[in-house]
Amino acid sequence: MTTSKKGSSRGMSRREFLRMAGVAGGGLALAACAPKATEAPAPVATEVPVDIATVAPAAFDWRKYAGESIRMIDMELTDEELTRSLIKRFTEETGIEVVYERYEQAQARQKIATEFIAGSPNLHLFFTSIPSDGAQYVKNGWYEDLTPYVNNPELTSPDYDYADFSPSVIESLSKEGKLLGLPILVDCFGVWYLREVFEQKGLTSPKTFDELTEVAKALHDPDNNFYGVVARGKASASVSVFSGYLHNFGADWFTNGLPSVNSPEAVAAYEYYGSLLRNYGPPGVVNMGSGDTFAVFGEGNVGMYVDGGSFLPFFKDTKVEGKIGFMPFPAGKLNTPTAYSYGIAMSSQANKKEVAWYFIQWLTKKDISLELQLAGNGSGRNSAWTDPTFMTTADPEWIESNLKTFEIGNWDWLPPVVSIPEARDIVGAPVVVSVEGGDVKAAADEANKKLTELAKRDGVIP
Amino acid sequence: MNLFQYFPQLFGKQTKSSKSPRRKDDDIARRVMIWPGTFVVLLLVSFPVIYVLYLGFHDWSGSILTGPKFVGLANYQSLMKDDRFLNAVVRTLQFTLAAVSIEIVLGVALAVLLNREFWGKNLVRTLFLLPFMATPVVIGLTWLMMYNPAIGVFNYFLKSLSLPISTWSYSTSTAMASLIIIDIWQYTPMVMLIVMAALSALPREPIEAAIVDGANAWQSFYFITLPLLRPAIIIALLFRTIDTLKVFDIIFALTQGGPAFATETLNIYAFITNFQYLRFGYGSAVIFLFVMLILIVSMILIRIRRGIEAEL
Repeated sequence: MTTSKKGSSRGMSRREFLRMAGVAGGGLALAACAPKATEAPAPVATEVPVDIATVAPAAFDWRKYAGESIRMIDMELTDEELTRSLIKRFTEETGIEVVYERYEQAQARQKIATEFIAGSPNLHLFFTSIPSDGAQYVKNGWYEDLTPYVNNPELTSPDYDYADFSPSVIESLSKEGKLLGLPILVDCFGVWYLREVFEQKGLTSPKTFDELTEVAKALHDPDNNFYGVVARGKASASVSVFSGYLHNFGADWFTNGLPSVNSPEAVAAYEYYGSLLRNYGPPGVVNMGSGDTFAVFGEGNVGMYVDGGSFLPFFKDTKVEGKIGFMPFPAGKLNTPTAYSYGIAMSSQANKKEVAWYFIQWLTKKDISLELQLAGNGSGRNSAWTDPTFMTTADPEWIESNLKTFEIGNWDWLPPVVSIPEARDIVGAPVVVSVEGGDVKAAADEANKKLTELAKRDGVIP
Repeated sequence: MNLFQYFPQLFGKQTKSSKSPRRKDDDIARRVMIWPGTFVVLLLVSFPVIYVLYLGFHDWSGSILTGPKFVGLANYQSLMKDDRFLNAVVRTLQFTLAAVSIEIVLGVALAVLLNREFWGKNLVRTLFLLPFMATPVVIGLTWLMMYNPAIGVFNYFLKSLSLPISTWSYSTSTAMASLIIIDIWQYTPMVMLIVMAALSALPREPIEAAIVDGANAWQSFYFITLPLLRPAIIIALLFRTIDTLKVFDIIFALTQGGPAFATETLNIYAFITNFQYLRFGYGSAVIFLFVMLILIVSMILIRIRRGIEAEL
């Protein structure tokens, strides 16, 4: 705890110092010793205090664009209260106003797309997931490449430390050599569970799918309105969660460059996922996306909830707050659970791009990344994951599940086509059939046929 | 249609009687001043229609790098083979037929029931009108939680009464009916309102004459009141049909067309192809055919209405 206070006060003092230094335009010697002396723990740090004295970080003027205003669309990824308080601090420190809009993911995407098509210069920043949006947005020219901004010393503070970002996370946010976003949320799929119920029944973390079924069965008690497990069953929404089952069953969306969602392994994965939810899930799971499943688990009526680890901050004020743990995703034939990253990206059609970059830079710099990380919002920075405060205060299970997944996980959790929303509807359809107990093989064959047509239309396969 | 007949001022056909120069100036001023407003309205109506028609012959994903690519009738040809589109047409008609017919029957029944004096009549009438006045999206989200099979209030009541529970809007087999129930709950009061207005304007004499002749309540309703109400019912039918064909809010709030497209009507499909799939050409073709469908159904209903008016 002492380190925590130290860490945050250090951050504040540096910001205050920089602001003063920026206004006064001097104080190089102070810059060298005062803020940087405590900067030790970052393992991949590329700077040393000596360099900083010569480069003079105090010269970086955070208030260069004071009085400007930019607009951002969030997709309910981070804790709203925290994000709003961060934005307030950003405005205090830089004098830049941020108009902040927040929508549920699907709605955010529709809103963003509508603005891009209209060529709006007033939408500057948005959140993006490259497997979801990348191919289509790159094809449409909607992203601004962030590489020139990162590399421009006039626009990027010398203590930004780009090398601190995990290379795999940066790769997950890049496409065709362009940096499309900087990480704002990095996490993985796993199994949320009710600790007390597990302890009462003497259950342990399921390591395999068979064990997952057994644990779900042991927990399931529908007569008393308690269910074993819940996960998204709504076709399109289920795809992200289902991808982990697909991969761990030894299947993939494409094999040898062609769609393969009807391979025996894929059909087995669909069948397993559907039967798990049908037998040990709450009723009506096929119309449940992330919001509904979260609500059901949050009511404390379900023993396990297979979904993203980044939901941690959202359990605040639910009935299960403080009663839950997060276990790694079970293994099957393979063990490549799904990891995901969301980045903050810039619109290519935006005006005031430098101002927008200031916000991206500020929100992804070390101390802010750490603050988000401490609030349960996985960061893309190595320094945040190795921070001593984080290591001592965060739930060790949550850390372990994430770190393990980052190491072995699969970041490409969607079919490699351009029209992702349509592909999600197609490959999600067998999930619904499976949950409702229909002919999974026939549904998977149909899905594969449609995915092939789609891939041809997208020009991904001949 | 003769435009001159409807907009005489626009085309200066009504100036014959005005002789003095002053009057003439007034007329010119009047004509000039009407044009900007008319122009804006025409633009607002015609631009989207023309643009949708234009996009329907193109392929475009909203790219700023490449513009719409002309594909001729390809979008329309694909639509004729698109299962999702054809199913959406059928579902749109199913939804409309089921919801509107029940709303009309219930609406007329309620109007007749409430058209007598009783204690608390105004209160009851206000209560019935509340759903009609609420915002559909709010209603949708509220019903979504009430329908939730695990934590919703409907299954809680069913369980308390030891009745079998339902999956409501949360399964392919029951989702459509669940949505129709909401539409009926929300819009029956609208039908009721229209019919009540007509009821209060009905002449008392034919009914009194029938009662004098010995007709019972049912006979006087069926042979006298109902035929007299026909024009009002047709109006309600017309409004409700057009509205229900276009239903969007409730479906989008509850199921977004799912599970497995079980509640995907034309409006939802058009929205998804345009704003989720970003297939603006294909989606525009869907919208164009959808507008055609509404036009055809409306014209049929207007014909029927004219026929009834002529009869009367």
